[in-house]
Amino acid sequence: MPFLPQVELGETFRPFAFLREHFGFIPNLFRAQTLLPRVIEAEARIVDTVLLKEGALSRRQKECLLLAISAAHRNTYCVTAHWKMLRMLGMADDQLRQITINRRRAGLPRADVALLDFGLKLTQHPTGVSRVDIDGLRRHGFSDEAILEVVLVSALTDFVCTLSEGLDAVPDFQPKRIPSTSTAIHRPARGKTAHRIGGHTHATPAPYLPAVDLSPDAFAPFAFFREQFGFIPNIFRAQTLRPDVVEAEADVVGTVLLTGDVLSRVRKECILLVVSAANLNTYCVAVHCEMLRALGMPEDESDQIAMDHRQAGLSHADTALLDFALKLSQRPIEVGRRDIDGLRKHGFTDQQILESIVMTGLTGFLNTLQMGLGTVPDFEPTRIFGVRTRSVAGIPESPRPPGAEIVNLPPAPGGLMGATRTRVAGVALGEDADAGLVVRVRRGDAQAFEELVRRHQNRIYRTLMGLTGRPEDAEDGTQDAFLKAFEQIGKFRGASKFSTWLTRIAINEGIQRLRGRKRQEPLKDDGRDDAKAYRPRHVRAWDDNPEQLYSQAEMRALVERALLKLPTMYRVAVILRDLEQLSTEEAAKVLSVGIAALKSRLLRGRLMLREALAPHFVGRGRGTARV
Amino acid sequence: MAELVNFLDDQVAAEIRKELEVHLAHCRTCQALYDSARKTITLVTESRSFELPEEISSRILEGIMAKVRRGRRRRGGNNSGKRR
Repeated sequence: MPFLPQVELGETFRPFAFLREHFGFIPNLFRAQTLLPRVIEAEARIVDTVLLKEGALSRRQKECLLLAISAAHRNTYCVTAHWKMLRMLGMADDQLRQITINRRRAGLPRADVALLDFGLKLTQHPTGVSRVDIDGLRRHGFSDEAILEVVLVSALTDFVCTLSEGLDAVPDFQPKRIPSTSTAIHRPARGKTAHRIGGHTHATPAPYLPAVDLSPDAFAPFAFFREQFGFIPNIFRAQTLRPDVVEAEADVVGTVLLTGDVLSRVRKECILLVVSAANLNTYCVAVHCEMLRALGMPEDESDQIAMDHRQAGLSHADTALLDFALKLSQRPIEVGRRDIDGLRKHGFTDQQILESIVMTGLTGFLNTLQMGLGTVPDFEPTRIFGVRTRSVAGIPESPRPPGAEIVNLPPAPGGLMGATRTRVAGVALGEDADAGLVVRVRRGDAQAFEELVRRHQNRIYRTLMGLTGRPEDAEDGTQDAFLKAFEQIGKFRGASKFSTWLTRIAINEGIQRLRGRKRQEPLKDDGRDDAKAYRPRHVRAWDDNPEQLYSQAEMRALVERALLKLPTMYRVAVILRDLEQLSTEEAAKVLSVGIAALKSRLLRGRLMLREALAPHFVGRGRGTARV
Repeated sequence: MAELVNFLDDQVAAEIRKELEVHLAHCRTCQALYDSARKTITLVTESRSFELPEEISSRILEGIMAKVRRGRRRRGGNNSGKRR
C-alpha cells in the first residue's frame, strides 16, 4: 500500500496517456503522486527527454544503468520495473541477474561495463568522480553527448529511487528479489565525518564537458532562469549539448521548486539545502544559500540550516520536515509509514508530504547531475563540504573557486555559530564542523564531548590501527587520545581544525606505543634512500577492475597486510592521506612537516604499496588472494 | 616529485596535465605505472581497512565517557557526594 492516498485523474490526463503509450502501462510510481498532477507532468517530461528520446546512448544501455544503480540502492520497485523493461528489450533473466550482482560477468561489452562503473561511482561515491573518470569514458569511445546522458540517467535513477521509497510505490510486476551480494549505496553521513578540504589549488576549475553558448534571448529556459533567479545557474549551462533536457529541467524546477501553493518556497529551498549539505554538495549549498538570502533569510541562518538544521531554532514542524527529507535521502529504505504519520501529526497535509518527497528526489537529481558535470559554483561557497573517505564521499572534486571562506574557532567561547570568519584567498581551507561542539565542551558539556567521540572515534581508531597494527594498542590509544583531548581542550585555539588537532594527539599516542616495542623505525626522514623499495619492478598493466578480483574481505586483508609492511613514516602519510582522506595540508599539519616532505613520503609510500600489491592485480582474471 | 603526487591526486595545472597525458599516451610503461598507482590509491580508499568493529566502538565510547564524567565529578564534586 502506498503511503499517500491517490485520486482518479481519468484516462485523458495527458502524462498518463503518454506513459501508457511508451511503457504499455502507467507505472505505480506516477499513480502514487496523483495528489499533485503538475508534478507528474514535469516528471514525465524528464523521463521522456532523458530516457525515452533517442540520443547518443541506446535505450538498452540506459535501462542497464537504471537497473544496476537501482540494485545498488536496493530499490525493489525500480529493479522490478527496469528488469521488466530490459526483458522487453530482449535481454535474458540470467544476464539481468548478473548485472545486479556482478556486472563484469554479465557478458556486456567492455564499454558498457565502463558505463555502469561510472554510473555506480557517480551515485555511490559522487565526490570521488573527477575528470579522470570522464576521460576514461572517452577512451572507451563515448562522445560528450553520451557522457552527458550517462550523468543524466544516473541522476534520474537517484530521483526515481527516492520517489519510490518515499511513496512506497507498489511494484508494477512480480517483484524481483535483489541479490544480497549487490553493492549497497553508502551515503555520506553528515556531521559524522571530518571535513576534508580539497586540493585543486592548481587546477583551473571547469566543467568536465564542453557547452554550447546559448543566449537567453534565443533560448527560453535560460530566459526563464534569469528571470526567476537573476542568473543562469552553471549546472544548466553545462548541459547545453542537450537543450531539450535543459528545457525539461526548467519545467521541473518551475513546477516543483518555484511554486508556493503547497509547501512554501522557503521550506522547499531548506529541503534542498539540507539534503545537498548531507550529500556534501558544495555547489548546491552555495546556490541555495544564495536563493534563501534572496528570499530574505539571513546568511547566518541558512548557513546554520545547512550545517545542522536542528540547531537552527526552527519550529518543531519545520525541523520534522527537514528530518524527514534527510532520512529519505540518506537512509531511504528505512522510511516507513510512521514517518509519514509523524509529519501528519505536525500538521502537514498529504499534498505537502508528497511535495517534500518530490523535492527530496529532485535534490538528489540535481546533486548527482552537478557531481557528474563538475560544474563551478555560481557563487563563492562559504563552505566546502567534504568527508573522511573518498569511498563514501571523498574529496570535493567539484571545481571550486579560490578563496572559499573558512571558519576558525574563536579564542574564547562564543555562540554555536559565533565563529570568526576569515577569508583566505587562494588557500585551500574549509570550516570546522566541530567548532560548536568544542565551544560546548569548554563550557563543561559532556554530551557535546560524547558527540565528538562518536564523530571521530572510527577515524582515530583506524589511524592507530594503521600505525600500530595491533587492535589492543589501537583501542587503548583511541581512549587515551580522546581523554588527552578532553583534558587539553582549553589549550585548543583553533589554529587548525579540531579533527587535525585530535589526529595529532592520536599519532603521538601511537608513536609512544611503537617506542615501547623492540624494533623501532624512524618517523622522521633519516636521509636513507629507499629507492630500491619503490623503484618499480612490476611494470605490467593491472587488471582493468582490480576490485573485482577478490571479495571485499580478501581485498581488505590484502591492503591491510601491504600497508603494515610499509616503513612507518611512509605508512602514516598514506594512511592519513588515502585512508583518512585528509588533505595534503592537513596531513602535513598532523605530522608537523612541510608540504613538500609530506608529498615526498606519500609518493614513496604509494609506490611501495603499489609494488607490494602488483603481483595480485597484474591482469590475470579472478583468483584467490593468499591472505 | 611533488607534481607526480599532484598528478595522482588530479591536482596539477591544466598545461602540466596535458603534457603528462601526452607522454602517457605514448609510453606504455608509464601508463601502466600511473594507472596502477591510481588503482592502488582507490583500493586503499575503498578497502575499509582497519575499520572499528561495532563492539569495540561502544566499549571505547563507554570507557571514555565514564572517565570524563568521573573526572568532572572529581573536579566539581563537592556537592555531589559521589567523590571517589
